Amino acid sequence: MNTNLEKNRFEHEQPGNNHLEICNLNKTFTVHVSGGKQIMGFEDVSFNVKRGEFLAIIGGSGSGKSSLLKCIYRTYIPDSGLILYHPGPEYQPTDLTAATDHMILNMRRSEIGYVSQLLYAVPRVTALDVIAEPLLMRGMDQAGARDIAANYLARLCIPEDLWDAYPSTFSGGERQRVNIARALVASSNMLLLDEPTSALDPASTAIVVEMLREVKLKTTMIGIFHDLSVVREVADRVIVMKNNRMIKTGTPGEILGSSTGD
Amino acid sequence: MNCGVGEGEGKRTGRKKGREMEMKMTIGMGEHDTGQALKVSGLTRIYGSSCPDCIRMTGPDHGTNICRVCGSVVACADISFDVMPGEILGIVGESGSGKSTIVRCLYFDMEPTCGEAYLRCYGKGNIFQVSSQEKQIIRNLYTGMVYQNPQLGLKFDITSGGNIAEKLLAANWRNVGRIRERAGELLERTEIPLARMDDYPRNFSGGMQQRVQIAKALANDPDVLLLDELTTGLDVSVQARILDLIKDIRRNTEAAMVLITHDLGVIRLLAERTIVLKNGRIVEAGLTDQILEDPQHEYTQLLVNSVL
Amino acid sequence: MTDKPTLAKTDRIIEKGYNFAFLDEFTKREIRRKILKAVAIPGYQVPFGSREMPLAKGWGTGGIQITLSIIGDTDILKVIDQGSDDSVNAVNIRNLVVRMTGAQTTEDTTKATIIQTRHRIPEEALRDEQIVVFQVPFPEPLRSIEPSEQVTRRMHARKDYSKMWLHLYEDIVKHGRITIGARYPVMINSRYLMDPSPIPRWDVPRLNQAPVLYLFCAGREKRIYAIAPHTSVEPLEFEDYAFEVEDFSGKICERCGSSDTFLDEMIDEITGSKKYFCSDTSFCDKRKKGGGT
Repeated sequence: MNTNLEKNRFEHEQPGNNHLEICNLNKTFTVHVSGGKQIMGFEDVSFNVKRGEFLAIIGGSGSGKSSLLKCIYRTYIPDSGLILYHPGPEYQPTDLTAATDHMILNMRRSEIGYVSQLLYAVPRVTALDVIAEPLLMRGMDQAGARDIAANYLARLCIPEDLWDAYPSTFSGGERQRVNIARALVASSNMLLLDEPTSALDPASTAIVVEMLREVKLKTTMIGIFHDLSVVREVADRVIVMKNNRMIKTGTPGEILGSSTGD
Repeated sequence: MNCGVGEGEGKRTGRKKGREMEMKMTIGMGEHDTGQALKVSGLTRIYGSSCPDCIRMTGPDHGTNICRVCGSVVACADISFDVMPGEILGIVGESGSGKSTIVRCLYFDMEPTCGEAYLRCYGKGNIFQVSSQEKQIIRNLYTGMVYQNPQLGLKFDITSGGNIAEKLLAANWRNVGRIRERAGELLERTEIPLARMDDYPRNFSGGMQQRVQIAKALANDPDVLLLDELTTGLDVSVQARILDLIKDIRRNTEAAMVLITHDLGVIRLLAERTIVLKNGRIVEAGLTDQILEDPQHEYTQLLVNSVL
Repeated sequence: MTDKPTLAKTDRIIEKGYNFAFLDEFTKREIRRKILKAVAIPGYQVPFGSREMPLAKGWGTGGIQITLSIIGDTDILKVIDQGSDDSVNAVNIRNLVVRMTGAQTTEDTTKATIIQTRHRIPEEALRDEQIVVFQVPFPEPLRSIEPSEQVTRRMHARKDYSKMWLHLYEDIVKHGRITIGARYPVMINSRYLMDPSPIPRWDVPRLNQAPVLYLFCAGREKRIYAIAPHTSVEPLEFEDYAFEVEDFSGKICERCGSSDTFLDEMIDEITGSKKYFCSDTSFCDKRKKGGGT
């Protein structure tokens, strides 16, 4: 039922239709256990993301990329600024900084997905069930959900004899592929990716990149990547962060140059 | 009843406009029911004579829940929260922070000094104000409880099937065959061999006792499940099975769950939202990942840092 | 049931120096008030100040206090012990009441206005002007499963009888049936669980929607309760394990040949064979004489 809604949205889509608007967003951490020390997350970040756009955020470690992504997902609470989420042309935008916990949870169920660097799952749940879970939560039957989950596992080249094993026993790369599959299967309208390919070998990275390309057709994505070749392949636009500020934005070509060799 | 406590909404400045927005934007957000399965407001429990200064003289700002004026113990004060159907709410805090008092009050094991609680499925108002006969009905039909100590939740001299049957009998089941059928279903679901149905819980392992408790709590398909430290004291592999079971219940029922624990790992795995308690007060409430990754209150930061 | 004896009747009070009906007026008034409360709330146990009686506790001190409080000098009293009018206990209670009130006595159930009984209800049909007074050893039906008085009172208040139901369930799991013989727990007016005193299951259906007033009193435990006429009395039972009365099929009374009464089993000391006799002796006599219904 959600997919129909999505199609409609895309048909009615106006050029320049924003999916997410971030205005003057700030985040500092107050560490009470260290005598109230202030740690800067990022300051004064503003940008828009268009519906269906793939935005890559790059920058050195500690530049505030992850904090920014987590503020959008409400894992972090921003200090000030606005995060306007547009569910679709016929709906009022929502300010995620002011949304209640229940609203955020509802949005996480259907609108915004997040791929973390680590996979958290109940230890005794099989890989298949970990991936099927978002589908089950939406009321899909067990068999159907497991079918789709199996499909994803196959696509991500997880050996079939691991499907009924527990991801806690997997290698880092395998575990991360399960994590990505879990996020993709939910088919959210917006996906936040926090270095999804950092733990993957080149072969798996290639598979993931291809899958991201595929979902890009119907999903807006904001991702943090260290691997610039991935950024070149998937991103429509790049934001560069440095010293907790956004310093540059442009197409991959403009930001990274046209050369493929680093 | 007024305990002289202000509205608990103040600590959530910056997110105040949320309430009214919630009304506007439900359509675009999927078909989630906005009716809370459980809504608690201003729940307070004081042991002892209590004086007008009790509330003011206790709490995290004073680092104690014992009133300096009259010596009363403020187990919890001004506790307000809600739980949606199918949602798991975590309540964390050190021992003595008042966690258990909250669920004990909700299960009528003790009476709150003041406060209100409402169940979506029970339309007759504040459940603390109804007759004890009505409370009995609420306790047996609409809620289920799993105690940390299985001795509190189970009768050890009654068969495991009988322990489950007790809840069904309270709900006026009067057919032994059907009662046994239902008890069998519940035991199967909680992975207890059917052959143990007529065996006594005192002969069971700790993990099995906890699972019988869960089966019993689920007997009447309750709308609210109260889980008090249900994995504390169990070894890790047994813990995992129980957590798995809770996830399964969450997938397959609409029960709202209140999960009391001091184990942040359990909270991370199960709860979507979490409340942090200190000295009987809520010091922080939020999404679980936010509580764990961007804790705002000094005490929460201490709690999170001592684990990680 | 008038208790104010007329001048002429006063002469018939044999023992001088005692009140009419032994108990002082204030005691009788208290007990009558407690009876009224018990009738108003059928099945509810009303505490009362049980008095010392010239009987050992456990020999009917409760029943006799009720009888003495409600009896008038025009009443006709029948006293039975396990169905028999002739047991020592029944005879002594009867003699005491007669000496204290001058009331008439009878062994004929149909003629009595007050029937004090231990462990039985007479077989013959009872009428609306009669009162049956039960001697009760243990008034609390929940005591066997819950030792605390505080808790049992709370269970009654909340109508929380799941523990008793659970007891029956466990009985069935262990023995394949409900093994309770006498003192079978009954629900009164769908509200209070009540101990019907140690009457056999045979007599339990007689309590339901009866025209007669049933009064229960435990002297040692200091409780009065009642089943008002035409009150619903349901024994606890499961759909698939129904309440059953004792089965005497194929057995008849050796004396009167009855096959529809509650029978006592006797072992013939000489032959060692089992014999059965009516428990209700006066009714048995009536039948033997050919006067029974």
